[in-house]
Amino acid sequence: MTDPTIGTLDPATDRAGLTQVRDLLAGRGLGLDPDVEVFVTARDQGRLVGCMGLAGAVVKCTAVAERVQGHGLAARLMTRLNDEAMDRGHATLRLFTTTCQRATFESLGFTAVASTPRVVMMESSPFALATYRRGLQRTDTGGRVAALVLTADPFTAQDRRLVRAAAELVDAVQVFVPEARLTQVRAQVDLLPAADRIVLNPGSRYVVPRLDVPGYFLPGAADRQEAGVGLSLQLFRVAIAPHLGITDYVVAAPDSAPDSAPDPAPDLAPDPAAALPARRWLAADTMPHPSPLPGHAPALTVHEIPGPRPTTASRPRTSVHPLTTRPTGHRMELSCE
Amino acid sequence: MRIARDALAGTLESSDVLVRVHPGDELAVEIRSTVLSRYGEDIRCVVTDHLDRLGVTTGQVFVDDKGALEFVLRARVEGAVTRADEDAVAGVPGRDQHAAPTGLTGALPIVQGRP
Repeated sequence: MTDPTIGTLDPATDRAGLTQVRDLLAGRGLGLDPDVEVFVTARDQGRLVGCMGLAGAVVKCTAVAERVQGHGLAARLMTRLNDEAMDRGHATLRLFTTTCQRATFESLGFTAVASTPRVVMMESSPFALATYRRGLQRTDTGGRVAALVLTADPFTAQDRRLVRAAAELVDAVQVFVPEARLTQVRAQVDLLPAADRIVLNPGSRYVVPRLDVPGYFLPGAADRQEAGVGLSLQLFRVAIAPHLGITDYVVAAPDSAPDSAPDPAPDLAPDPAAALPARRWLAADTMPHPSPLPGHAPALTVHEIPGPRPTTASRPRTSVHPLTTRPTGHRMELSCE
Repeated sequence: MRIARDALAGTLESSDVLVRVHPGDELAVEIRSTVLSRYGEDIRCVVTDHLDRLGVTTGQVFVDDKGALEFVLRARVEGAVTRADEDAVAGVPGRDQHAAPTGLTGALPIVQGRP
């Protein structure tokens, strides 16, 4: 092998180059994601032997041909990718990979922040999570604090019901919504009777209903969904909840699909399937996979709030406990573990 | 000097070190090294000493060392901090696709939404 040359490839204009990238990735059992904005490439006498893609601030579609492995090519590619990303305004990069590739990317400067049994999420700055955390607003009431993660796009009647239900369950509520939705949701929440006990925080980067796991290494949509939910829940339990004193977590029950929702707009958020993973990742003493982050992460009490339904008794529920923490006096049910 | 924006300097190759700096309210230094158990404390001393010499009192500094010698380490720390200083050149006009990257935030001229 001669010394490979490092360069870049624009997938929007270089169709021939993109075909070579696709072949290289396929040779390593990987796919080509369509949203890659730039590839950093390594060429050995014109032949493509290594590539790393950048989509926004996410590193993806990385491969080094088997015959040139062990020569430090990945380090050269990642160095160049870091510079290209910085030039595009992305100071902190993120990537998702299989758990067995974790050590490889640790040697390339990444730090693992969350992990499911199959997928690990890593970041190029060990400070990024702590920086996000420092910007979060705390509740000042003390006592039990419940968290609610909403996409709030738009803030629906279902969202409003969840926030109200959470406020009736505990002393204070932390609502996480995407940063762009903060102002709109604040205006809606201020109309609620318990507005003074509700704190809004931006959740976009770490606290989302589901992190977007790229498809290039995990083709199954269901697998990606499961991993994305697991990663975000683990991050929440380990890094966010202890920091903000959060003790409870509120989700819509999985069967609360808006089949009988009175409001015309379809209630899409939060993801109805989020409740079961929340139980496995938050309420159980042991998470399905240990977190790469240090520190003790106590279990949270998960409340599943059923959807708006005239007669809740018409559909039997597996575990319904009477409300004990705070009397509510309406048809809300509570399922805790 | 002051860490006013994100910047990096160095490479991930053997005998070099990659230094990342980000703005922050207080000074935080994180060291990772292939020789951490033997030289970790020495590396930290060199880094904090050089930050001190540069007058850096706040910011996040991540040092990913691949066995760099002391003068390399000092040069990379100084390079990253210089790039992060508010007086550093913010952008390279006329940079084309084949030019070497600069490691400076936003250094690519933006044309029609694409760098």
